[in-house]
Order: sequence, then structure tokens, then C-alpha cells
Amino acid sequence: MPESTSEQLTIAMIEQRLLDFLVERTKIEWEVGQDLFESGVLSSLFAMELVVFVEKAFDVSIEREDLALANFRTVRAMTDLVLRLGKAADA
Amino acid sequence: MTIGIGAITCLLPQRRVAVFELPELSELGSREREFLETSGVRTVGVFEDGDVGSLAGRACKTLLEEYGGNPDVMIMVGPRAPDVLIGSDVCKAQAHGDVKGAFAFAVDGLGCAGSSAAWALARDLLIADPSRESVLITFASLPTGEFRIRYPVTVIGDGAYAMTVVRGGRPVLRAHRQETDGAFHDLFYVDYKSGPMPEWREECRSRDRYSFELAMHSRVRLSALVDGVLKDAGITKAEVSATLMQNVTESAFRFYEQTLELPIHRFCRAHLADAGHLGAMDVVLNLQRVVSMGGVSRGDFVLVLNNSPVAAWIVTLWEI
Repeated sequence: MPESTSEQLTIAMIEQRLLDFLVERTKIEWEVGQDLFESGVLSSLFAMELVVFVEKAFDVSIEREDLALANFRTVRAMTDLVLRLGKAADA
Repeated sequence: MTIGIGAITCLLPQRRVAVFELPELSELGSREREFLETSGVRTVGVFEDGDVGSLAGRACKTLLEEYGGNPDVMIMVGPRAPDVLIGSDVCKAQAHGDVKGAFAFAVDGLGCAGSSAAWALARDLLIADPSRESVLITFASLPTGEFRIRYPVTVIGDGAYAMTVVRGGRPVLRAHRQETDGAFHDLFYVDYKSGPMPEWREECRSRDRYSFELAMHSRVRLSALVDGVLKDAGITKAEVSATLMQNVTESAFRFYEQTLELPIHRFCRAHLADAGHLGAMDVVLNLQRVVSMGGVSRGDFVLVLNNSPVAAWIVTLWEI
């Protein structure tokens, strides 16, 4: 079930959910600051899965201006994006 | 009065070359080889001779000899690399095709989305002037330089087509939407001024931008365009009999199938495997084959998705 931003997701909770997803899909352990795309193993298809996962898991809508690699390069960057979009939705 | 397709002629070379026999193979790194193995391309067609102007002209001549007609307008979809600078590829095609009486010009700068833009323009030209009866569209696919392998995009094959858009033609062009985004204009380029043709190499400025940002933009934009086109036509995805797109890679087919929740017709994969990527010709070849032997019948709807890393996104709905 998506977690509403009103449930006050913490940074740690968001990071853990993202890490769990990444481990499940890639079978690789990731660090929150690790560059997901540097290795070249992540395809466009996976990038789409990642975007869809972030939208559904955290109940946020990612618009064109936020579809920048910088927002998805690391778990930390995705966490910042989720928090920012969650605040915007709550405002 | 509806507007649709009068006739289509596709020319494909007799000769096929296996991708692992292409001359540039020895220069590939491990990533490029891995890409080639998973690209979905097994062979590419190679013409023995000809340039874009003469090949497009040959396609036009073949079409007009077979189906007749006297087009009022001739549109050439711009090639990856023109035969000459200053001169005119489209007027060369007009001369080689013996297309007398048509006003000829090019639609350019849209990469493999060019054909979809051209058939929409053809429709608009027919609507704009009731005295016009037929618009001829043509294109020839040849590699930009000597390399056919465009890592991380696709592998280029040779081909040429000509088609007419006419009043009362079928399939009928039911709905059409298109977008471009100038932000990606320089994602791919060939620096042709600094060296002779054998040294031309296509460069991708950022593989990350291609694999992530452009892919994600394509997901959002094509989804919206598909929804808009279906809404314009008053139908749902369930009423689409076949979905076609350009033949780039196997992973691209999977990406758009998952993104749009529409199965891409098996002919697209078959053409990719056999002929490679034919640029703006892909959607025309796919449409022609699906209409003639793809299991669709009069009244069925065929959705054509077309996009390019330039970047342009175009969706057209055809009614058989």
C-alpha cells in the first residue's frame, strides 16, 4: 500500500524502502550514496520501474521537470525528491 | 471526405549481412558487443549501390509505375546525411523518380519520427487546398558514415520507401498528435566537419541522459499522446487491434509495452531482426506489412508510435 506523505515518512524509512526495492530487483546490496547508474547495469527499463516504484510506494507524482537523472542517481537523491514532492503535495 | 493512404512501396536490399560480420566489429568494446548481442538485430540489409536521392527516387518510380498517379506535392523525409551540401536530395529523388509536376521539399530534423510528421503534413496540405489530390512521401535509409552499429541505440540497415496520402485513401488517418523538445537536440551528433567520411563516428553526449532522462520523457509524453489520440478518436486501448513503432532494439519494444500497456505487433520485432533499424522507414514498413498480412481487417484500428532521440514524439491512429 502506498504510504501517504501525511504519515510523516522519515528519511530512514524512505531510504530503507528504496534499498529493499533495489536489492530485490538487482540482487545487489546498495549504499544510500552509491551511484546507481555508474555501473551501467541499470537499463531504461529498470529506470522506468524505479520511477514507477517511487510514485506508487510514496504516493507522489513525478512531473517532467523532475525526470532528471540527478534525482534518481542515488538512494539519497531519491529520498530528497520524495520528501520535496511530498511537501509540495501537502502544501 | 476522409484522408488516408493511397499506396506504399518499400524497397529492401536482397543482400543481408549478419551483424557479427559487420566490418566495425573489431573496433567494438565489450559493452558494445554485449549491446549487439541483446539488440534484437540479427542481420541488416545492404544495398549494393545508390545514395539517398537515387534510392528514394527508385522507390517513387516503382510506386508510380505500379499504382499510377500524379502527385501534387512530394515530401522527402530528410536523410541522416545528405548526399551533397547546397544541392537538393529531394529534387534529386524527384528527378530519379520521374515525379513530374509535384512541388518537392523536405521534412527534416526529426530523426526516425520524420515519416509520421510527413504524413500528418500531407493530410494538412490536402485539407488546406481542395485542388490537391495526392501527396507523395519518400525516404531512404543509409548509415551516416561507414559504421552501422549505433551504440547504445540500434544497428542501421538500408531501405527506401515511397507512399502516397490521398483523399479517400485507406487506412484512414483518424487522429494524430505530435511533440518535440529542443532540450535534447545535441544528445547525438556526428562531427562531420573535422574529418573525412571514413572517420565519421556518431557520438552520444551522455548515455545516462539517453537511458534515463530521454526514456522517462518518452514514457510520459507517449503515454499522454496515446491517451490524447484515442480520446480524439473516441476509442479505448482495448479497441486498438495492433500497435506499431519504430524498430530500434528489443529492449525498446519491452520498454514501451510496459510503459503503455499495449503489445507491440510481432512484425516489428521480425523486421528489426531481419533488416535492422531503417530510421524513418520503420513505421511505414511495419504499417504496410501489418495492413497487408498482419491479421487486421477493415474498420480495425492500428496505433503507430514514433519517437526519436532528437527528441520528437508522434502518435497516429489509422483505421484500416
